[in-house]
Order: sequence, then C-alpha cells, then structure tokens
Amino acid sequence: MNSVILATVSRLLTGVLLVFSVFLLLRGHNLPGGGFSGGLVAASAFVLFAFANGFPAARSMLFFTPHVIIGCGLVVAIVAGLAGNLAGLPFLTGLWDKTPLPVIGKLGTPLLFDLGVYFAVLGVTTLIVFSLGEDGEEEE
Amino acid sequence: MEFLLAITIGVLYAAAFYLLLRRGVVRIILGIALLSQAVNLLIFTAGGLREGGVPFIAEGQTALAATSADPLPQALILTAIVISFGVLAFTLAMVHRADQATGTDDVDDLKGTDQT
Amino acid sequence: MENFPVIILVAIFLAAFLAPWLHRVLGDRCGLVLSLVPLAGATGYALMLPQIMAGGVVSFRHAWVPSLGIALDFYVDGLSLLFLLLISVIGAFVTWYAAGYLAGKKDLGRFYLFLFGFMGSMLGVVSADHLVLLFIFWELTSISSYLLIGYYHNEAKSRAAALQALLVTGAGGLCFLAGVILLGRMAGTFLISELLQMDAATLVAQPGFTTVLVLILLGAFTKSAQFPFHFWLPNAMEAPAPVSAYLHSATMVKAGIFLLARLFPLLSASPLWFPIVAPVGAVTMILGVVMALGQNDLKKILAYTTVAVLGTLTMLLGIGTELAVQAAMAYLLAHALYKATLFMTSGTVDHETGTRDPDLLGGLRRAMPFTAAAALIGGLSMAGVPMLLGFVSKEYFYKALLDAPGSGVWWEVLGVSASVVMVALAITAGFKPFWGRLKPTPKKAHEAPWTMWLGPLLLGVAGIKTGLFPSYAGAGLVGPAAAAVLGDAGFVGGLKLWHGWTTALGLSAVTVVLGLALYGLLPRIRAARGIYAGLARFGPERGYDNLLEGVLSFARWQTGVLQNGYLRNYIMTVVLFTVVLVGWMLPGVVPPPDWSAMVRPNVLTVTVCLLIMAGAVFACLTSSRFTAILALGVVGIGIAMLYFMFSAPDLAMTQVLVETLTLVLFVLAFYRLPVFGNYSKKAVKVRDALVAAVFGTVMAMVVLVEQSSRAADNDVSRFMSENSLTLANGRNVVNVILVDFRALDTLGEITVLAIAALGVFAMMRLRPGSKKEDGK
Repeated sequence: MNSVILATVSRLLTGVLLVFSVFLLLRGHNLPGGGFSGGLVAASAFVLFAFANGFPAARSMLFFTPHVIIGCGLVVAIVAGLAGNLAGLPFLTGLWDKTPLPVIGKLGTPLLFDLGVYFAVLGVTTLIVFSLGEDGEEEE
Repeated sequence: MEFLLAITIGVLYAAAFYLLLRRGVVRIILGIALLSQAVNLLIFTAGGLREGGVPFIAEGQTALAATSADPLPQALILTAIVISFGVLAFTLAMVHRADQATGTDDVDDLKGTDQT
Repeated sequence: MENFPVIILVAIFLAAFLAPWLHRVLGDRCGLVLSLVPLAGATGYALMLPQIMAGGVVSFRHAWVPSLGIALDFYVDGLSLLFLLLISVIGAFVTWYAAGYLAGKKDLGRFYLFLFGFMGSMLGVVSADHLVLLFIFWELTSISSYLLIGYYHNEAKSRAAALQALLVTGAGGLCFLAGVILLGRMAGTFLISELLQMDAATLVAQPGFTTVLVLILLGAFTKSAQFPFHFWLPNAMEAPAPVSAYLHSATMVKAGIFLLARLFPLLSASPLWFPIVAPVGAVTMILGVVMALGQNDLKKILAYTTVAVLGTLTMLLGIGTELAVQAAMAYLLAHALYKATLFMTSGTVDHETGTRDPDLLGGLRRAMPFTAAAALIGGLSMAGVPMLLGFVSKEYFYKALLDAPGSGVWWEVLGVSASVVMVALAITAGFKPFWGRLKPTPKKAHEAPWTMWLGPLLLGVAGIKTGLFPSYAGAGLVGPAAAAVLGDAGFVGGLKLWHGWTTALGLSAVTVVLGLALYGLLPRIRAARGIYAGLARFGPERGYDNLLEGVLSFARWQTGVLQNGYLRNYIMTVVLFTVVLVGWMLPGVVPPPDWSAMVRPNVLTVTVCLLIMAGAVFACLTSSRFTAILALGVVGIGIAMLYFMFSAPDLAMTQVLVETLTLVLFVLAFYRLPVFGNYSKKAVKVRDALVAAVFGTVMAMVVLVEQSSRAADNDVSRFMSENSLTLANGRNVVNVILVDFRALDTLGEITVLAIAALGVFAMMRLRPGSKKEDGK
C-alpha cells in the first residue's frame, strides 16, 4: 500500500478523526457519542494511518504501546469509580462540579470514567488490528 | 414493520444457524457474527420501535418524552456490539493459529487435537 | 465437661493437619508426639465415666447451618463412651505401632494425616447427636479409610482394594443418608437423643418405615461387611498392618454395628428387624469362619474371622434380648482388644520375617519374646480361654443364644460351630508362629522396636485384667453401653466370671476341645484351598466386578454419544430442543397481527430489510470467502440503518464503526484464513437448511409474541428517564446508563475487551519457541 495520495491525505484525515473522536467523547453525555464511539473513531484514525504509512509508523504515532493505553484506560475508569469511595459514597457514584461548561456541560467523574472507556477501546482495537496486521508483514 | 422485522430476524437466525453447522471454521465464524447481529436486532425490536424519538432529554425538560424510544435496550446493545467485535477478533486469531498448527480448517479433523 | 467431645475432636483434626509438618521437623519420632493427643483424649473421655455410669449423658449443642436445621450437636452416653475409649486408646497404640512399622518411610507424615483424620471422623460418628452430622462423619471415615487402605498407592492391587472399599461403603452410605432423611422427616427431628425418647411403636406403624429400616440396614451392613457385602474387608488387607489393626478391630467396620446399636430402640421395634438382621448376621458369621479356614495368610485369616465376629455381633443385635445386647457389647469389647493385638503381632511377624504364611512360621518366641507374649494373650482371648475377657464374653454369647426366641438350640449350634473354628484359628495366629521348632524365614527374625510390641502387650494385659475381674468392665463400660442400646436407663448390666456349672460353661469346654482337634486338621484344609477359588466364581464379588465394569462401559458409551466432540451436533441438539419446546407452546399464544399498532413501513425500511435478508442468505450460499465477508458487511450496515431510522443514533454510529473495523480485520486476516472447503454432502446441507428454516420461523414467531405482550412501560426505564438529567447531569440517557447508572457493567465490559485483545495478541505474537515475543 504505497499510495502517495493516501499517505498524504491520511496525515490530514488522521488528525481530523482524532479531533472528532475527542469531540464525540466530550459531548457524549448529552448528544450522540461517548467513550465507545469516540474510542472506535480514534482507533480508526490510527488504523487508517497504518494502512497508509505502515504499522511501524502508526505505532510510533500512537507513542504508547496499545498495552499501556489499555492499562491506562482501565486505571482511569477505576480511579473515577474510587473517587466515589473517597467521598464516602459507594464505588462508581458520580461526583459533579456545579458550573456547566460549553459543549461538555457539567464536569464530573462519569466523564472521567468515559475517558477511561475511550482509552480502553482505543487500546483494545489498535492492539487487535496491529497484532493481526503485523503478523503477516514479519513473516514475509 | 414489526412483522417485517420479525421475518428479517428469523432469516438472520436461520442463516447463522446454518453456517454454524458447517464443517469449515471460516463459515462458523461468519455464523457467529450473524448470530450476534440477529440477537442485537431481536433485543432492539423487543424494546419497541419508535420513529423520531431519540432517547435524549430535550431542552427545558427533565425526563424523556413519552414518545421517545426506550434507552435501556439501546445501552445493552451498544455494549453487545463492541463485545462481539472483541469475540470476532478473538475467533479470527484462534482460527488462524489453529490453521497454522494443524493445517486443516475442518472441525472434524480438529477434534481431539488438544490431546496431542 | 460438656465440651470435651468437641475439644478432643478438634484437637485430633488439628493434629492430623499438623502431622506432615511435624514429621518434617521430628522425623520418625513424630508418631510418639502425635500419640499424646489421642491419649489425652482418652483421659478426657475417662473423666466422663462417673457421670455415664450414674446413668447420665453428656451433650453439647452448637448451631451450624440453622437454615437447614443442621447443628453441631454431640451426645455421649454409655454406648458412645465405649466406642470413644476404644477408638482413642487403640488409636494411640496404632500410632506408636506405625512409628515402628513404617519407620523411615518418606510419606509417614501423610500417613498420620490420614490416620488422624480417620480417627477424628470415627470419634465424630460415635459422638454425633444429629443424624446428618453423623452421616458426614460416616462419609469422612469412608474417604479417609480409602486413603489408608490405598496407602501403598503404587500397587494396583492396593488401589483396587481401596476403591472397592470406598465404593461399597459409599453406596451403603448413600442408602443410609436416604434412610436418615426419611426417618428425620417422619419423626420430625434429626436428633438421636430426641429420636430415642420417642415412642418406637407409633413410629414403626407409620407407612414407609420399612423403607427406612431397609435403607439404614443397607448402610450398616455395607460398612460392617455383612454378607453379601463382606468381600471388601478381606481385600482391604492390602493396607499396611497398622491400618488393618485399626480399621478392622475397633473402628471402621464397627461403625455399622454402632449404627445398629445406636438406633436399636427404634429399629428393633419393627417386626422385620429380627427376620432380617439375625439371619444376615448368622450367614456372615458362618461364611467368615468357613472362608477363614482355608487361608494361608495370617492377615487374611484375621480378616475373615473379623467378618465372622461382625456377623456374630449383628446376629446378637438381631436377636435383641437384654442378654443378647449385653453379650454383644461384651463381645465387641473383647474382640476390639484381642483383634487389634493379633493384627499388630502378625504385622510384626511379617515385618521381621518377611512372610505371613503360618505353615512357614514357627519358634519365633526366642527371637521376639514380647511380641510372642502379646500374641499369646490375644490368641487365648480369641479362643475364649478362662481368665481372659474373650472367655467371659463367650459365656454371655452362649447364654444369649440359648435364651434366643424360637429355637435357641439352632442358634446355639451355629454359635458353637463358629467358636470352634475361632479356637483353631486363634492357635494359628497367636501360638503357631512363636512356638515349636524355629523355621527358616526369608528374613532373620529378631525383636521389633518397643513401639511395635508395647501397644499389643498393653491391650493384652487389659484383656487379662478385664477377664479376671470382669465386674469393673461390666459396670464401667459394658453395662452402661447395653443400657444405652436398650434405651433403658434402669437396666443394670454387669459381667461375672463365674456363673456356676451352667450349660454355657460345658459348651465352652466342648468348644475348646473341638477347636484343638480342628487345629490338627487345618494344614490339610489349607492344602485343599483350591476349592475356594472355584467357589469365588459364584461369590458376590463377581457381582461387584460386573457392576463396576457395566457402569464404566455405560459411561464410555454415553460419553461417546453425548459428548462426541462435534460442535454441530451440540448446536443441533440445543436448537432442536428449543424448536420443539418453544414451538410446542407457540400455536396457542401467537397473536393475529395487529397492523394498526405497528409502525408503518416505508420504501426505505422495506428495502433495508430485504437487503439484510439477501445478505444473510448470500453469506450462506456463496463459495467465495470475499463475497461472504462483503455480504456480512451488507447485513451489518443494513442493521445500522435500522438503528438509525428507529431512534438509536448511538447504536447506529457504533455499529458503523465496528462494521468498518470488522472489515479491516477480515481484510488483514484474509490471506491467512483457510479457503472455503466443501465438506458436507448435499443431503446434509438440505437437512441443515430445513432445520434452520424451521428455527428461523420459530424465532420470528417469538419476536411477534414478545411484541404483543410487552409491557408499555417499565420501572427501570422510567427511573433512568426521570433521573438522567436531575441526578446524572446528562441528556443522552443511553450514555448516562453506560457511564453512570450501570457503570460497573461497563467497567466489566472493558475488562473483558482488554482480555480478548490480550488473547489475540498472545495467539498472534507469542509462539512457543519464537524469539520475537515482546511484540515490539
């Protein structure tokens, strides 16, 4: 897959998709979106980049290995849940800041939890695709 | 519409089942994929069909409108979609490994390979 | 005092679990340390003697599973105390003995674990008040005896014998449990102490009591090796000598006798008690002595005489007169003392000389004087010679038979014949190896360490003491035990040495004379023992073998049929059952279509549905992998459109993304996936398609039924709708459910996803023998 056009366009598209994925994540509490779709869009961005520029390039662009991203996602989600415990409430109870922000709405631990979901889905998807994709390249 | 969807779901189930009965592993994977689609659609239809009733709370309201769709089955299906993606990836990797290790995709030949 | 039984029990089990560690620290000496526990226990039990002799009981209660009415209830009366003392004292001696017999064995610690586990279970059996608790200990004795009998686990014969004992007693244990549950429901209580207070006659008159009786008897008969379940006991002689000495003198096999005695006041009220129990005991007794005659192995001789004694005890309980019960208790005590002694001395002989064949042994008394003395006392007691407890108990045995209801003479003939054989065999086991000319043996004989002869000798001395002054044993042990069995606190038993010139005394004299004569004939009988092998073909052990083989081949057959390893057969079975069960109910409930309540279809939705169906069918029919994958994509995108059109934008978005990534996965894996093979025959495909069509129809109908019966509103959805904004500050209710209301589920889900991804990674990247294992 050595298409110059795809390689060029993919750089731009990947950036746009990543921004869009964050947008989906942030507005998910009030409009369609959220951690699952945001994470999938972000993963698609890296998959597209990998198809255009090869897996090693995609890996270096991801910066962290998928394993680390999965781990971070799970840890963030659990930390978001533990915040409830710190406040003396049951695990995963949502805590909220009173003042709303534009697009996102109010800030709270459920958003942090959704961020964890986002990273977990991103890491899972990229790990799966990279594992399946790289296998062939190395054997050739 | 529900009648038509019932038939669609029936066809999906039948196709998934037929594929699961094949001996080639790839067809079995296709069957698993179709089966999860069928189940999702079944839950979705069971939750009730609504046109133009997205489950979002409108500005100025504190609860969903009476005409809006039930959000609960949607939440269930959303997780199911992502999980079935994981399962599919897992089976694909497994079939690939089994093919490498045994050189066959006939489940009848794969029988009892764990003993060797 | 009330909690003594529990404290001792806990201490024994604690010692069991500490044994392996102790053995590692102390080596072979750990047996001596461990034996302190049962000795202390015996002292504790002895402290209860005054209270029990005064006609009292010791009971302890502790709720365990209150919801099931199961409690840790213990109850000690005269009968329990007799057993408790025997089990703990002989247990301590056996612990010493094993320290010598198994000295240097690496797994001695494990042996003590099993031995003490067994000891604790046995103490539990005889002191439990709750029938279910009794059953639990009962099963524990079966399991721990399995481990003990199979101690030489690298010998096939040993394993087979252990398994046989476990299966026979285990099957009986299940009968016993069934009987116990029926009895408990019938009487309204599971407490033995309460059961014994009830009016037996009304209980016996209840319908179904016969079933209870037969089930409990089956449990007792299998445990106590009564005909036709006797065969496991001689086979269990594969065990090391300490195990045989313990299991077959005072404990395991006596558990069945204990059960018969424990429930005697209830069960003996049944008119069936005498006609079942007494004959079974008599047959077992005769069978035991006949089989013992032809054995040329000391251990086997002792094993078959044990069978005979168990038969005798059962017969006496079956006869059930006051005299018979007292005779049974005296006989039980005497047998426990002399049989433990003889098992240990014969084990010592085997250990020191390398053979157990009485024809090859003789004159060992100079080499091993203490063992010879112990064996002599044991043998004399077994033969029923005066001044020993065996004599006293045999006097009562004869008196009880003469006194038996019906024709006492016939019982007497059977009893005397059995005793005659006992005399001959007692000489063989207790006298023959040690006296006469010294014979050459495989190993040069010399005396065993003191641990191996002190126990038997002390037991022998106990036999002499109780034999000379039977009134003490009578008042302290046998009397209270008999009173407890009879359920008559007023019963005053006692043992006397001298009864005057009675018939029983005359018969005793005749017995000894005839026994001596029979001893002279023994070598000739042993020479002709080939007859036994011929008879074995018709014995009940054949039935056991055939049953076992039958069960195994049935298991093989049904595993082959049900777990055949073919995925499609499993799926086919599941689906066919679903189709039949659901389809059978459907015709009555499928509603006529209510078109007005349904959403009106339009051109777009109909087209999408048709596309989905076409895609599904196409995926089945195509022979190209690529087309199949595309068809799958069509189905997925079609369903995403349906989600979108019916107010589920989140679903639609997720579905589209997942479909895209699925396509990517297939493309990546494509060249590595096997091509479609054509494995199935045409007829098979047609059959599968037909079943699939029927299944699809049923599922479609299920959808319609569900549609018409769905509740318009449900509390869960309403709660989420009303609280999504107010409590969780979110207008997208689906997202709020995922990250707030049901966030724990979502946390679980992403964990599952992570595991799946790691699985993919592991399968694709980690290869046994591959160097590229870090995945970078």
